Amino acid sequence: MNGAANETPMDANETPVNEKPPAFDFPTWLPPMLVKELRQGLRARGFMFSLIGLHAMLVIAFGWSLILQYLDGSAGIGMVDGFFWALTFAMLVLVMPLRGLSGLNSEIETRNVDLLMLTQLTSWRIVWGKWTSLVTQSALLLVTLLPYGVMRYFFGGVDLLQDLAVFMWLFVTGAVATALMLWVSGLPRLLRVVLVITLVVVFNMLLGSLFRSLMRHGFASTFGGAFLGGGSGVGIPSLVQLTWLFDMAIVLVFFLLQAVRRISPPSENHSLTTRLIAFAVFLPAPFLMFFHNASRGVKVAMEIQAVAGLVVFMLVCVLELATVELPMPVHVRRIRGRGGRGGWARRALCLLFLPGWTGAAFFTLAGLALFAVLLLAGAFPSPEFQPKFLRVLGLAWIAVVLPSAVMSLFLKRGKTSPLIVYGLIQCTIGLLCMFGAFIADSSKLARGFRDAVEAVFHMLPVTGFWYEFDNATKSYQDLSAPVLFGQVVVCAFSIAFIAFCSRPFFRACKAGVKSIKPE
Amino acid sequence: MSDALVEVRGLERAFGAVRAVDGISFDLIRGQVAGLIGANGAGKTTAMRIMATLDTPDAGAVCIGGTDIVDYPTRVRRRIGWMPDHFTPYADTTVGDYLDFFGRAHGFAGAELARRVDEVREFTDLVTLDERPLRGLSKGQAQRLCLARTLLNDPEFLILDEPAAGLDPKARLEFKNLVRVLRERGKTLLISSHILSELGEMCDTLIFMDAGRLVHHGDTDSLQRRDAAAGAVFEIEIHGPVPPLLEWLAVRPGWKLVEQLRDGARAGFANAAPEAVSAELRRMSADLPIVEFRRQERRLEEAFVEMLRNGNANGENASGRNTP
Repeated sequence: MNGAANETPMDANETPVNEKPPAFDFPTWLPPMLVKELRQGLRARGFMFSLIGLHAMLVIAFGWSLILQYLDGSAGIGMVDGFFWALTFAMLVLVMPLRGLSGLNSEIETRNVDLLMLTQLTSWRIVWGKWTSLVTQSALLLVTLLPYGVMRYFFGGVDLLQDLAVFMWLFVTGAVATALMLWVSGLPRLLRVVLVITLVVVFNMLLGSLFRSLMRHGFASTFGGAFLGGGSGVGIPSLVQLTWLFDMAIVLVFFLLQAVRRISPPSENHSLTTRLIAFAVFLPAPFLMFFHNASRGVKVAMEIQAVAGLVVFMLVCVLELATVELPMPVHVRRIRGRGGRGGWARRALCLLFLPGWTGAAFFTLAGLALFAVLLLAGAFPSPEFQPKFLRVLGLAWIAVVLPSAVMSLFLKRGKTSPLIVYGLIQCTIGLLCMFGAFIADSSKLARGFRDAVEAVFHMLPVTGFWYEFDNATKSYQDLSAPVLFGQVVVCAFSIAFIAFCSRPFFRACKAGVKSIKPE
Repeated sequence: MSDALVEVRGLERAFGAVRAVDGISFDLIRGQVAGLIGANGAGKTTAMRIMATLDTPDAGAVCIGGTDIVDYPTRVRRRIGWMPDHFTPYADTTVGDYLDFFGRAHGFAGAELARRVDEVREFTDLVTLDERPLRGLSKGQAQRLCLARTLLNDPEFLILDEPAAGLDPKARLEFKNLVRVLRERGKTLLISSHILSELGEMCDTLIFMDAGRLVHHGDTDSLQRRDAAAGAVFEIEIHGPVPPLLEWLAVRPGWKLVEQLRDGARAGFANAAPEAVSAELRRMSADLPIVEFRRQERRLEEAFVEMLRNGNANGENASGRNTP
């Protein structure tokens, strides 16, 4: 190596100061990860081919339509409206986000993420840098489409504001999809494959028809006014649109946080932030409730908010319950604070926000209790249904928590993906339910046998939940006293079992409290 | 205040049933160069990854500069440099871009960034490779680049995992030179390898690991002292037929034939103390026509293997708390 190695070139005092300021391709105040990803991304073949391919297709399509207009006076650029939007949709919502699929796994599998973590980059800054880079590349692609937008304005007689609103929505959807892909990219290989296949199926079912409609009819005809202001004026944000935007922002942060968890050191407590997200999604509810009589738009916004809130909350619960990690002393110390002060409030926070399935179980319980209070305060369900409603919620809690307790007995940290095991356990229970329902409905079997099977399935906490959930909206038919008694007994045993399996969690909490030094 | 920059206490880490690190403890003093030695699977990399805050111990603690690595990983990371045993290049990236990125990631900006990158580039002789794509680097060049990246934040504690693996002899020599310069600058280094002879020359202290346990901690002299207590091997050449030498070795107490050679034999003597060896040589010279009598230098590898074979029954130095 260099002979200069014998000298001391790294000594700051002996190094000559550069006379002219150094030249950088990107300013040094930009986030390092963004710079690195942009350097790589803009040179990558994927981006180059997407850009060139998109423009080649659009130039051919627009040119062809203009020629036809000149020759036979046909609709001109309006002819390629569907093609233009379908292509833009595919690029911004599918192709560009899909590039995120290699975002984290390449860093994890090559262990380059270790090198990144040893710099001043946090796991959040790494993921944020990757996401902003991909979104910036999408934005670049979008900017290059503007000339076609101008052409459509001059030759096709389209509404420019409407086009801009559509561009904005496609861009935001693409940004959320990119965050989702980044999260998926950090998952274990098997889970990644399963999720990608699921996404492809969902895309085929949901987005496939949308894509075909876009090709045929263009954006405005496909969506009507739903995305474009709901008839209240194109491009003017309505309450529904604002609610959509808020939910997308929450989901975006949620996806990014899940990606961050894949690479962060265990000493960081990301359960806290993830669980807070689940609460944050309900934030607009009080605001919307205040205006709920104002218009139909507010009611729609409330419905969207309620559905989005429930989906995010359930997703958070499942993800958090499917963990086998135990809290570390550092997690306990950070919540309990210096000297371990704070009393019952901080202890409650520990139970709700410490990592591990037991903490998630308390969090789920708190969420369901909040949900019950909100619904009961709004007099739903009717007083007649309230006992059954509360029982269904109780069974729901056991149904989601019990598999975690079972899983914690045999699954060790870092061995198998707990999410896969949790999913398999729930799927097995689901199949069991279907089997039970099949037996109960079979007319070939004796009535007594069918009743016995149904009673047993009602008593078991997990299958019992599905049975009661299925019958929740039907006419009020409560269970017979023996079955109800059996259900109570089995649930009591289940809770005792969950408490038994939670002992390591409480031991870890105790160790954490012990590690707090008195002030 | 303790002189120890690195304090490892009762470190444990298991992967399922395999105990990769099994309760090791040792200290490293500021400015010390330590070698971590063990066969493949001995737990070297796991121990190093824990010390580099990249893995979490099941039990025990590591403090670097008095800061616990689990509780305050971010603080610790500012003080350490980690060079893994492999290098996977980024796609579509040049040497210059790579160093520039890691410089930025360490928080440098503007002229300071340019200065730091220039320094490490010069130090590792990478100036001419600035525009070279990472995928086009040779093994030696890649290792130099890794070292340059490790030095960017001027860490006080460097953890180098198998840094010389796969290097040609010239590159190894250059690497040794770099280690020497770093030591002169007061850096503390922990270097892992399974090639003892190399580490013996570079390191002030050697830490031997086997099956996750620490089996010896001390300098090369302490290892040789252990070796001397166990006896020494001599190569003896005589003028004329060999059988009289073999008979002599068979009847003299303390001698044990290791191997018969063409003009003599290799034999072990139980007491390696100089006065005892001298007396035996005098007796042998009186009885036999000795042409050459040479004490065979045992390689560190042999000593290590023998130490493992003996199972380290007496447990000498095994706690690892003593630091030379």
